[in-house]
Amino acid sequence: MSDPALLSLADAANAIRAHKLSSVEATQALLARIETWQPVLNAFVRLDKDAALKAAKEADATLAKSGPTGPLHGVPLAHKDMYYVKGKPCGCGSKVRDGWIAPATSTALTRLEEAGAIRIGALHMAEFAYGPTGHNAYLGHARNPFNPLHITGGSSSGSGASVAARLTYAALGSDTGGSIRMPAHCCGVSGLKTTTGRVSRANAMPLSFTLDTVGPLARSAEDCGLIAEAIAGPDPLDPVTDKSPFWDKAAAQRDVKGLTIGVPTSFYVDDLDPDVAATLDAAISEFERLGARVVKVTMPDQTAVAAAAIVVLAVEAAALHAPWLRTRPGDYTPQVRNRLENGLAYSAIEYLEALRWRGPALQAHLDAIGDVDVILAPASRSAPPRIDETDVGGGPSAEEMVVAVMRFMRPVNYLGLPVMVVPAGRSATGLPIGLQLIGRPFGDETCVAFGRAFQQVTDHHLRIPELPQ
Amino acid sequence: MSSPATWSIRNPGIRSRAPAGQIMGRAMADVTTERVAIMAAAARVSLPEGSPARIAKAVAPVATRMAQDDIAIAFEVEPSTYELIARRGAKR
Repeated sequence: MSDPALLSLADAANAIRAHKLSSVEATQALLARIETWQPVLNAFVRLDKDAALKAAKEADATLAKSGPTGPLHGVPLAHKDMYYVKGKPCGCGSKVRDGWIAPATSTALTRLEEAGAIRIGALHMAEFAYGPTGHNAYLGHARNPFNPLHITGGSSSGSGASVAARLTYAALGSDTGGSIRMPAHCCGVSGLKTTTGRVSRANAMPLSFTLDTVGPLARSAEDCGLIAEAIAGPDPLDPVTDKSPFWDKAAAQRDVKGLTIGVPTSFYVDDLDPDVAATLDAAISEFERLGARVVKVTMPDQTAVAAAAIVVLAVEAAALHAPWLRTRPGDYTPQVRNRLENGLAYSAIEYLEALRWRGPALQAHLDAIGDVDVILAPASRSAPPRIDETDVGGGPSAEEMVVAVMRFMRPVNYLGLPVMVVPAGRSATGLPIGLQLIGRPFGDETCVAFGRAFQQVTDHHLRIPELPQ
Repeated sequence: MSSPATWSIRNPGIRSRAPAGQIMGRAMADVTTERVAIMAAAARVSLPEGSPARIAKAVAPVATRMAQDDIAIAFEVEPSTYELIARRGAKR
């Protein structure tokens, strides 16, 4: 077998179950790549090499003795450093929580363990998941595998970079305002932002209790479906998941022929860079060839939806961090402290009005899309920008550029919808371009089905970055 | 205003009781430096010098957008109304 690190999650899991690849071999292959790439990417914040190899040996022994424990038996994974493991440090990308020991294990990680997966380490993230680019002045910035001068996207920066460079078969991220989708777009990987309430957030670091969602970044839409299958469903520890359905594997694998794709007539198609516009056009043609019905959709004004998302996120983040803002303000980096302080300026009435409007805004969205199964839209107006041009001190246009790059992210979080991001093209300079497949509430499987169908006739997701010389 | 962006919940029961909805914007205030300083103090968070002005500048565009007349909701709508609409909007 050629380098096992380059397999997809599905192929690696199948190979391990079929005794064609051992968990130890898979883990060693990933560890070898991590050693080479980590100095370039800064994707990992902790590597649990010995523990991972020990777990891999145990997985191989169990497989030989009694068969696989689950669909991900022996598969090594790494996750954003915001998923708690009982008795282990979890820094959340911050000085404030540096050295903090988690009192319990997150439900998402427990479910991956139950599916047989093992962990090799924890991944870089924006400080407290409150940054869209991959900048982290405390940890050092994460870097894009396709060009280390460019951003990874955030806040699941390490998840995007490590999956793209084939340092892990998949990784959990989180998405409160684009934190799975932006790294997926920037790093050329697949990412699934799940429906609000579909996956338990228990014992994962909170940012906004209304908008937080848990989901995977992986090498393909199919791989995202495998992770979602393991983690989706109700959890008594997270009441928001009370009525969440378990994963419907057949729905995630269905043919998209006869299903309907909506293409927005405004907002998501405004002011696109030519590379992005061409990528969108090409994807529309692919879906038409796949037999999907493509219709134009006039959506409600997304600027209002985005504004409401900002109010909810800002206030909830400020409320969560208020105790530390009072006692340890100097332990935040200036950029994140500034963002948190913004949330103090909205009134209780403004916050509650933003929460109350969420239902009507979703209803208006549903009215506008009718029977459409997914909306196809760019993830961003442009390919990922450079780190220096979006950094503090990057000039007066830096913040404007960040806002422009993020423009297509926030409405979806406010509406609570599932989204599959798939790599669908590249810029003139070779950087990835991703597209969003925005589904209906609890239509996560349909999003995966569209992504899977797209990747059966395209090869953007197979592109592997080369180590810079 | 009767543009398509004047949104109202489609639950007939609720709609019949509040067909016009409320315009949230009419209840919203401008974001001033003074307001930011007072609200931070009320939250018992000390802001560095110059921060209230920075925050007011950052927050004002969002608050202004939320104050536009196209955001209307019926009197009876509460945050959990969202859950009902999300369940109803599913198509599995």
